[in-house]
Amino acid sequence: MGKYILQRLAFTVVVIFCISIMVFVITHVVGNPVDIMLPLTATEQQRIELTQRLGLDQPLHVQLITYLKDLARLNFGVSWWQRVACEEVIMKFIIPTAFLVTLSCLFALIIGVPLGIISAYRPGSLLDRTITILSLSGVCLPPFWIGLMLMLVFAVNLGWFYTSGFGAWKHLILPMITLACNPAGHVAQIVRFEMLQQLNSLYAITARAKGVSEVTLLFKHCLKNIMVPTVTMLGVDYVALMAGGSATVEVVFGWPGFGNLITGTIENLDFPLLQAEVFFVAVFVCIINLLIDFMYTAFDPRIRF
Amino acid sequence: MVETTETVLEVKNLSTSFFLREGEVKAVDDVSFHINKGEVLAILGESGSGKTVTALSLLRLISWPPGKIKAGSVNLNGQEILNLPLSKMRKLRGRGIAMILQEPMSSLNPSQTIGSQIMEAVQINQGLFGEEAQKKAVDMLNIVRIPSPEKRFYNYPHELSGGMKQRIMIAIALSCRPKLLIADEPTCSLDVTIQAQILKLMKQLRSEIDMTILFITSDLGIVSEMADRVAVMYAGKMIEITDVFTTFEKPAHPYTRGVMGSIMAMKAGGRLNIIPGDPPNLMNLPAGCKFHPRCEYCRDICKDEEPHYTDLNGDGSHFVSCHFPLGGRR
Repeated sequence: MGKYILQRLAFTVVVIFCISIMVFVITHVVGNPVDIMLPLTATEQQRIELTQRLGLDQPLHVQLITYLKDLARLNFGVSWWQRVACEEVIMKFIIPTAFLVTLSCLFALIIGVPLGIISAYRPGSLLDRTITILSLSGVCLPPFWIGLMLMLVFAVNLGWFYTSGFGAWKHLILPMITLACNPAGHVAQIVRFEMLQQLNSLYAITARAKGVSEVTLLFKHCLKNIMVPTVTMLGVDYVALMAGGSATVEVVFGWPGFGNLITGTIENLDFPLLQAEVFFVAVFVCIINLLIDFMYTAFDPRIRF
Repeated sequence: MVETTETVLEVKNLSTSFFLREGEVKAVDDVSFHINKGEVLAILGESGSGKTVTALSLLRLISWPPGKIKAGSVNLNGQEILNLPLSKMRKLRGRGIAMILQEPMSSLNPSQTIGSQIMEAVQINQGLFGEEAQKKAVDMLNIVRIPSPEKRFYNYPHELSGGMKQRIMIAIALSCRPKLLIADEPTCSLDVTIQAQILKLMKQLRSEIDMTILFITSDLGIVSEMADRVAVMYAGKMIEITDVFTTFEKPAHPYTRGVMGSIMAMKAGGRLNIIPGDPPNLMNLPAGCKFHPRCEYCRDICKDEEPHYTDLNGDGSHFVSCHFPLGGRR
């Protein structure tokens, strides 16, 4: 167990190292931040001064080494765009997103699992087909469109919730539901598929042959066995939403979150902030994956580290 | 053992088919048999002859789609069960008929301890709960000779060997206290020493708790060891039913004789006498007698007309479905 965690952590360090280099290279070839930071009327002298101040006049490999040295000391530098320490900027924006995305994924789990089970209980029935269409829509419809439609109906016409902003529960509900559509659809589909397999398995026949009812079979026997793929699926969605996937919905609902921050960072070619953001996301993804691996052991006694 | 007259199970004209895209597969076709109380009836047949489907049909565990019990009647202790509502059928499973599946490796729930899986059977069928049920489950582990049962109770299936898992399957089935136990090749995936242990165990338990057993197998050795009577299946049909002695010594159906002939020849040190040809494709069965393409006694009538199920001695002791049964009255 301890050995396994150490191995995973070592692996995480390697992953983050590689990603950091990739981000550095990609950011430094996409454009010149000086063009964006200075007004169009700036003189050549001003441009040269800023380039020197940002250290962009040095050869690329020197810049890379400086960047890696700073990274090793967890010194992310100051954001060119926001003019505060990068980690401060990220903390300020990541908390609202973590809050929103976590609630969305929990909501998706609460909605998706029962829908999938109901579907699998009577495959081919009207209810099953309705749920399949719903879950497909949840997966296929673009979240920003769902968000706009929900906003139109429940915020503009009915006035139950606020259209945009951050602070009260009335701000939270609509973006939460919007973001939950996609993972809920995934969860419902995977639960249906896995549940059908479990219900047709040999151990299900054993259970039925000793007189177990279908409902007991579903909840007591099969539910635990479908949790590993379900949690894997939800974990992938969770990480994707945290790593900028929530951006369009955050824009639609004016949510001051990480997705909004990433798009702004890219628009402004803010190299230090972008590099810090990618670092945070990479660490976050690795931690979540580690947590999910440990969750497996709770559901499947055959998995031990 | 055939002197008891109380019939536990009476199956008449049972037909179960699977409706696949390619067509109908008649897995069980017009099968009739009965089992007397306390008796062991072995269903003998090669794989694909419909033995397991027959067993699952008795429990109504054929899942639709694609499988369906098309016709027939199954009478358990005087109660017709094919038209019972599902809720009543569920109550009959377990305490009425219990089943040991043939695949011990995947027939236990991988995420539950074996103790809780046995306990569940005790709770449902004996109405015991809590510590009482647990004590009973540990007792059952003892009965099936699992060493240190109190510890094993908390094991998961993957922590046990195949032979132990098979014994757990037996413990689950026996915890239901069934009137009829269906054992579907309970030893087929085990090595010979464990096989012998399990057969011995089943024999002991059978006399201890006075159980009726329907034993499904393709192993002639097990048949001679366990069975009182033998029903032979071929291509979804039941072709011969008689007591175990007659099956081995004076079989009336050419197929049974062919099967027995292979061991006779080996005993005599002669050549292995195998039945020529392959079993038929269930999607595309031959007309007339299903066995005629492989039968050395085949005549014209066998190719066109399906033989009736006839009572050879007129006393219900030997049924065969053949136009020209061997050694019997013509």
